[in-house]
Amino acid sequence: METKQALEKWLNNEATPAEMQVLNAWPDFDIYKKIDAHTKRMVLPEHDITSGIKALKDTPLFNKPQQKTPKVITMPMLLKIAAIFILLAVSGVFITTLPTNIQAPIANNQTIELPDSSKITLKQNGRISYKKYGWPFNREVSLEGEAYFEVAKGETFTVVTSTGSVSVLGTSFNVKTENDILIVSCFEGLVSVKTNGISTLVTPGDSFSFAPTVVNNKIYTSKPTWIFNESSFVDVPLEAVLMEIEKHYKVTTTTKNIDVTLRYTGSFTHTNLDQALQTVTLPLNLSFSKDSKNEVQIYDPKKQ
Amino acid sequence: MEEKPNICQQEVFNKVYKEQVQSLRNFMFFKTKDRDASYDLVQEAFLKLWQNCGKVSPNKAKSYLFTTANNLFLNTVAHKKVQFKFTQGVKKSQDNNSPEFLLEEKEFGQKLQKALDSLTQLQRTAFLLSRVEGKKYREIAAIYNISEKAAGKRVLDALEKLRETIDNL
Repeated sequence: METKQALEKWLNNEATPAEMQVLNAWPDFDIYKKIDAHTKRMVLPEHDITSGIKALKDTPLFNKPQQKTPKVITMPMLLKIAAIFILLAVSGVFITTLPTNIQAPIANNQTIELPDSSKITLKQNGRISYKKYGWPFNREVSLEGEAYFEVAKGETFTVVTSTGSVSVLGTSFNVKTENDILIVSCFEGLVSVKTNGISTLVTPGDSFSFAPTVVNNKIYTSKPTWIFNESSFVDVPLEAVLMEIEKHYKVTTTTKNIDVTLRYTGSFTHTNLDQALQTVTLPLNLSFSKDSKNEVQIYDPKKQ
Repeated sequence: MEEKPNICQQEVFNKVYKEQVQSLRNFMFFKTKDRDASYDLVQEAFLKLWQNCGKVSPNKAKSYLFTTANNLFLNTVAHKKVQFKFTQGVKKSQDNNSPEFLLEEKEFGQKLQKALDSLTQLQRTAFLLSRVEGKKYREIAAIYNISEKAAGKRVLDALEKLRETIDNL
């Protein structure tokens, strides 16, 4: 066993002097040495490098080094960088044009904070759409319904409606659209409204209705009252006020012995029907009665 | 930007050829026992290296060549019977040309020849890589992708088998 180990090391030219001593004392070692010496005299084919390379280069296959390798797309560095930028630009354009749609719930207002910290209070059932990721380049909001805007200073901010577009530079204003009527009320700053190619400037405290005719009304609050869950009216026929009550409280109203063209200025709350009816009827010296089927009757107590 | 050495570059390929061709040729010769067949296999292995020059880095070229040549050899069919040749031995302090010595030499050479034939191809190649090429077990292990211990055992087994065969002749 010891000799075998020594023999294995000897074959690898790693036998120690002590191991060589063991091997030399071993009678069999002679024949191994003889085999080794004789084998080492083997005649090897001498490889001619020059003619070998030349022969290789004369092979037809040699001149098509990439022939069998699958085509790997190689591009100069500059092209790679360019490709990355184009990809980024294209995906950027794609992302920045993705619209964000928001619809306020049926019974509640919704406040939306835009990327530049402008604020939109969207009235119940209203709907807006804007490009969230493209916002820094394009401050444009599409609106259906009514919303109050508090715009952070910056580039032009535009509200697009079916009737016209409203542009501002940094202000608070209210936009209402209903049946192609556009009502813009300005609370701060200056608002420009463009309808049918005509621009109208709305100054703070003014409220304009557009289409069919332009009507200017004054506003006396610092914010639209619907924000505080109120509806307010300035010199509006009673008829219209009652319609607004019907809309907010899902009731039907009837009138008895009264002139529905009576003008009303004031506001009613959206949270309490009795209170709302009182605030509308009291100033006009009217009374009301309610029944269980959500029917409200307005009448003149003096004419009863 | 300086370009890295690449086998696709003619001068790099030539350098690899010069450095590796003889040991690869010997390796193939031990396997085939045939000068011409070993030449063809070596040339074919280098051609494959050239065709895949973009995929093989220069420091991997050696193992690529040995692996490729080995695979090419396995694909070839049985060879014609050929035999190794040995140069004449020199016996110290005696007349090299004495008839007894020459005869003994010749006889031993024939026995060794037969003994080598009795080895398996793997045993023979490992043994010749070790004895003729002077390769260490570690290098043989790398060529065959086996452990150093297994390589050593293969060489030792071959030697013992040679001795046994020669004794019985």
